[in-house]
Amino acid sequence: MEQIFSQTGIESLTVERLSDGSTAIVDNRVKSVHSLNPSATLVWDACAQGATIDQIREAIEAQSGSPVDAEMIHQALAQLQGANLIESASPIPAEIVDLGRRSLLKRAGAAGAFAIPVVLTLTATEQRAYAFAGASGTTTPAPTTTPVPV
Amino acid sequence: MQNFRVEAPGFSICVAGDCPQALRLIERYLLPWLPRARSSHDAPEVNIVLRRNSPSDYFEIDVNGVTIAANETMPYLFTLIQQATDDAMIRHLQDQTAIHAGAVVYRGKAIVMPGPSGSGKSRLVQELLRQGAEYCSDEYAILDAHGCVHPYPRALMIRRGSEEQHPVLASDLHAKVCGRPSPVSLFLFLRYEASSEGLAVQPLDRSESLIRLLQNTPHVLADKQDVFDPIKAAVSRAASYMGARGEVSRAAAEILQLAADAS
Repeated sequence: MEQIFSQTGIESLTVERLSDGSTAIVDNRVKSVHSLNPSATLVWDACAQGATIDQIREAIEAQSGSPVDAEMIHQALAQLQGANLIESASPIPAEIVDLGRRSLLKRAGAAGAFAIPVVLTLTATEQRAYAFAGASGTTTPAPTTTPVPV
Repeated sequence: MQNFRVEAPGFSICVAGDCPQALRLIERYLLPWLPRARSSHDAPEVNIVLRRNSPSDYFEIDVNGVTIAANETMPYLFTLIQQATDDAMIRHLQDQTAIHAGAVVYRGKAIVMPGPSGSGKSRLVQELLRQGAEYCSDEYAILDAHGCVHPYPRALMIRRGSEEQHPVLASDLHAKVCGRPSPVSLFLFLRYEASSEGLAVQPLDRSESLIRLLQNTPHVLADKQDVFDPIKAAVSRAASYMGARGEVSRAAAEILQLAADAS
């Protein structure tokens, strides 16, 4: 039986669709934020009702009107699974993902509308650290020599 | 001890000191677009006290009763005062999100260049002003729920051939200060590379731009839920690019061209 991939935790997610086809997702459980580029968004959307890799590919091909490389889909699924945005009975076999990585760039030019999928995640801890690091500050070292007259 | 007050939206700042010369300098450069007052019955949210360590030009400075510097000189002292007022401004924002960024307005739309302190924002903003842009801020872009940038035209902090930053008013640079909220046309996430010629940038997906803005806000998303909406509104309407910039004059010219193309 083929592996089924499904969106997970959807009731805890705030999903923001952006006009270029990319998606920002806030996971309200852990306050992390995910960025899905348009290709990753297509794959995530295709998993809404649960789908096999073939069904995902068919859905995307129907939408984009051009053939889609299975390795691109493997890449997207691996990243989405890593971000806890989809689930399946078992993870994508590592050899498939690694094979995809090796040949992705070679195939990217022929991938048509379906570009390399990218999922980025900013965790709550990382965002908090950026906030404190980004607070107003001066980069001027405190003077240690001659005072400047006021 | 003399003093002056600055009335900011939602809060006020009182600066008192025993050195009239230092107070005049601070009054000239601190949040220069906001009205001043000499006295008020209301207690200020930010109370800054400057004491001269006579007879030298060194000062002790207290903010809300806490000594933040015991023996400092101008202009470093001014950067500490400006930092305290920036922090107060951020705390008092309602339904708005601050982005650590340089911001200018060109042809009615804002160009926002996020980046940490020391990344060359002020130098790039200064050059954009010289080439005709209006000044919003060299430190914070304030985004509202519609994704527009509100001016925060504090004194620019400019290096004059040394590490030390000096306050400079936009008017001293003969630049126009933007006086209204402006929609964003461009977000530019730039790093300085001496080897780069002008601007070398790639477009960013809007969702990635949103994440990168969350990396440049002083607000903690987990503590302040409404941080997200102004950022989302702004990235929905603006183009975003990431990359390197080289020599500032050429980079600024190419940024203005990019903004004109994006409008």
